[in-house]
Amino acid sequence: MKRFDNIFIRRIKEALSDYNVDHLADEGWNNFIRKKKKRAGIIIPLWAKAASVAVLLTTAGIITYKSFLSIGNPDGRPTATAVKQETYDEVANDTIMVEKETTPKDIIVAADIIERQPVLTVKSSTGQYIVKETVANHYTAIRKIPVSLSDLNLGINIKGYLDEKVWHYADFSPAMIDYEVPEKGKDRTNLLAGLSGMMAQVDNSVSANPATSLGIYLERSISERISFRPGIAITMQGYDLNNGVLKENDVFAAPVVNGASGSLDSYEAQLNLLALEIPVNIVFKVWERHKSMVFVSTGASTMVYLNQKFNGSFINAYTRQSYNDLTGITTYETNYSEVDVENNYGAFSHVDFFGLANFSAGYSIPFGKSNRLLIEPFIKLPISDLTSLDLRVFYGGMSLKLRFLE
Amino acid sequence: MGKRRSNVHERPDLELITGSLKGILYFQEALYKRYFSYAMSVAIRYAVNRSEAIEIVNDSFMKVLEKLGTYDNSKPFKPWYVKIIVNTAIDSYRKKIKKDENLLNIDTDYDEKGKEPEIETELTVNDILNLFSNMPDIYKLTFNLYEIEGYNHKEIGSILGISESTSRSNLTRAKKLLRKLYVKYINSSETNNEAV
Repeated sequence: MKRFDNIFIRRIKEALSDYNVDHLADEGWNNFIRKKKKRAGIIIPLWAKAASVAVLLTTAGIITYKSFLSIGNPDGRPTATAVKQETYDEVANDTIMVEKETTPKDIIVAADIIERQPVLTVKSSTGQYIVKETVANHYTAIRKIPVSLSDLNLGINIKGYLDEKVWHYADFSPAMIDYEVPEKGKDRTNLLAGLSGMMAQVDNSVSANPATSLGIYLERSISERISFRPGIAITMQGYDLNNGVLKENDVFAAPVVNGASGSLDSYEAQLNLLALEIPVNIVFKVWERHKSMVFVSTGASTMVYLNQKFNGSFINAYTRQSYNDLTGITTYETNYSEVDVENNYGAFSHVDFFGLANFSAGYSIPFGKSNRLLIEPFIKLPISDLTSLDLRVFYGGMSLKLRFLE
Repeated sequence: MGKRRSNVHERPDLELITGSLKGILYFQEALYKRYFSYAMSVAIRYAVNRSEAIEIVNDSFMKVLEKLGTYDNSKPFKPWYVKIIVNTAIDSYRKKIKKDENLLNIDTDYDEKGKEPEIETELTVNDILNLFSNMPDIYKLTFNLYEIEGYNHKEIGSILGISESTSRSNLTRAKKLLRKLYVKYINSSETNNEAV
């Protein structure tokens, strides 16, 4: 049977080698276009992708933040209530050697350690309190006497909270904690979530579609007035690209046709994109009163493009010059061709490292029991050309951020 | 303003590929149509009928456009395209067996009696389609991958998720069945040349 098989296989190859169904190509192409449109129709819309990514980012941020807090608490310190109880038991038998004339026998921890962070007060049996140096310095009117942490002998559990060596034996009452406490201790980190709306300007043309951005940020205090604020945000934008905006016009121009060179006459195009913005900003506190604060911020953002959908219609002009020997007249004939362009640049196809410079000024007010609302107008200027189309994009907008667990 | 597309079909492959990569529709159309017959000649071996072959070609071309950025233009386009078509046909088969797992296991044995049939006349595409459309998909796929595309049984086994010996046995059965179908539909007075 091998002979049959060999001949049979050869015949199959022969029969298909000159198979010609070009007459079906149009039908096939039409089916293909229909299928392509149908497939494009069921693509998850940008907003849904953005929402999903935002949910994931928020979840990841909260988990990171929580793990960050637990790293800052390596001894697995108990909760505020537990600390209060244990500290009481441990400290109650000790004597605070603050001043020789006072020998308190009964000491209690008066502050609500977690909620009132970083204000921690210790009350002695004489009715006086011991407070951190920063707290004592803030309340200039109170009488205070410096005391070393080693002299307090408060016990290991509470010592975890005592990041300052010098405390003050002071005329201070826990009721005063209701007043603003200016201490922004070192190594403090807050989680922020933000929503931004902005307008984009490409070249001289302001885009009709507002862009939106949703992000999470970590704000870490470097000093009393300066904080470092990295973050990650998902942003959706759409630009109308008018004539002259694209730098690489020639990529869409048709090549020479019948000896006539083509040049781009005009175009209408649009770029819709979904990007991950990774800002790294420094925040400077410029003014503070009671619980409100004014700040300015500057930094740079890296843009990672998750999706860039470009479509446009390009009109190319072809001019043919002909010279009539008899009449000596040169004539020009111009024809136009229209090219539809649709291009999807895939995820991570382009990254602009520190492509945007960020500038903002903001106002911070208390929001709820322990949060803060930041109202922050901003501008973003291009440091380099952005997107796969190398655009110079300027942004201006407003950001609302919520800072948790103040 | 009219669209000037008249000369696009004369352009070299590389130009069509570059234009398609930029998303220019009429370059994509020209590329699709240039290789349509060739793509159909590959797809039709895996399909039940012409419509299914066009489906395979269209799915393949969709993948071509998606992966065009990874295409190495120093190598010929045709073999690259064929590989995508064959993979698409295999995907299509996998989808079918997901719907009906029985398609994977066909125990039918095809008895072979009598002499080896003679092949005297040339086969037409319709003949081939007629034969293949009467074969179980797994046999058709094994036969094509082994005899036409040049895969070995180990590769076929790994592609179709079957053992090497099953692939061998499927090929033997496919050949037996083809001979039987050849005698029944082509080398007999009752040849059935259903137009496809």
